[in-house]
Amino acid sequence: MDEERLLDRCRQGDGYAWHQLVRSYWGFCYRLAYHLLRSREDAEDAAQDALLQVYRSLSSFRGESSFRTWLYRIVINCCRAKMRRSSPLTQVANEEGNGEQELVEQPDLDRMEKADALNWALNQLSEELRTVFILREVEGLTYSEISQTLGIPIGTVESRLHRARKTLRDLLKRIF
Amino acid sequence: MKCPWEMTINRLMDDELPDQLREGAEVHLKECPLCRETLADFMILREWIKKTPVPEPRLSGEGAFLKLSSSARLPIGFLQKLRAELEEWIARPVVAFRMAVTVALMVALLLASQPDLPANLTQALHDKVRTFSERSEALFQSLHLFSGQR
Ligand SMILES: [Zn+2]
Repeated sequence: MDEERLLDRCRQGDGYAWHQLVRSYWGFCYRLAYHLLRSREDAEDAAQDALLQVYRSLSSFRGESSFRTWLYRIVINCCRAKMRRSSPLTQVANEEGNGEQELVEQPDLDRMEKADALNWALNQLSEELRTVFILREVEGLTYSEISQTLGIPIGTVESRLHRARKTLRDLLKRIF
Repeated sequence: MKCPWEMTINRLMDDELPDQLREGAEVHLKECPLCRETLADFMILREWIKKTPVPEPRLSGEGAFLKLSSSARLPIGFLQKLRAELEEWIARPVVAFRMAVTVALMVALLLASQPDLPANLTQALHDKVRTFSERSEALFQSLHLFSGQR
């Protein structure tokens, strides 16, 4: 069944179509959420929330963007909500525009697995920088697709991506 | 130290430079060790993130569907729900392992009952069956004797 027809049947409340839709997109939602949240449990919760939100608001999706772009947005928003719930203090600091980063203790990178070191470094990025970085490097989206997904100008995409790469490079350069 | 071409390096590696600017960036890259290093570092990050393992979710697509169907009260039929639950149940490692063991046992039993087994194996099976029947016979006789004595 093609996507258009599947979505139509879901809108009509067809249980079988929902079964298909969830099975097809569960992995996609979970993987994206995992890359953004870096925790399996949180990613599962966020992916579940995202699918529930798709269920509740599919009737309002009129195809102005592609379904995938719409889904990206929903998953990203659910991940943001999850982050806000788990670390409300960091978020307050960000909202006040306090650009100064809290001094974090540098772990012993030489003794860490590469994947763990990268995980740690990604967690040091703000949610905004991490999202752009993941959409580009993991999802392979173009600047214009990222700009549409996040509703930000292409110039902002570029500068966030550059900042994300530079920050990660500075944090990890020692073990390159 | 910072090179004014730094941002352009991003666009170059992301394939976002129009052809007419691309050539200039590539020429600059040949001349600027700073930008070459930046590009190399950014490429390492790209490779790393692509190789980061993503742990499998504990919930399968079926499990996710079941959760959604219960929290959203989806209109699904009884058979469909049963199928989804069954698939979710089978997807659990313990259940899958037990099922594999059961299937292996059944295959072994089937094989053992084949007539064209190697002679020594068939002999061994026959011996087992004979010992079993002899013991049953002995038991039967002792029971018989016991009842006869009475
Ligand atoms: Zn340069």
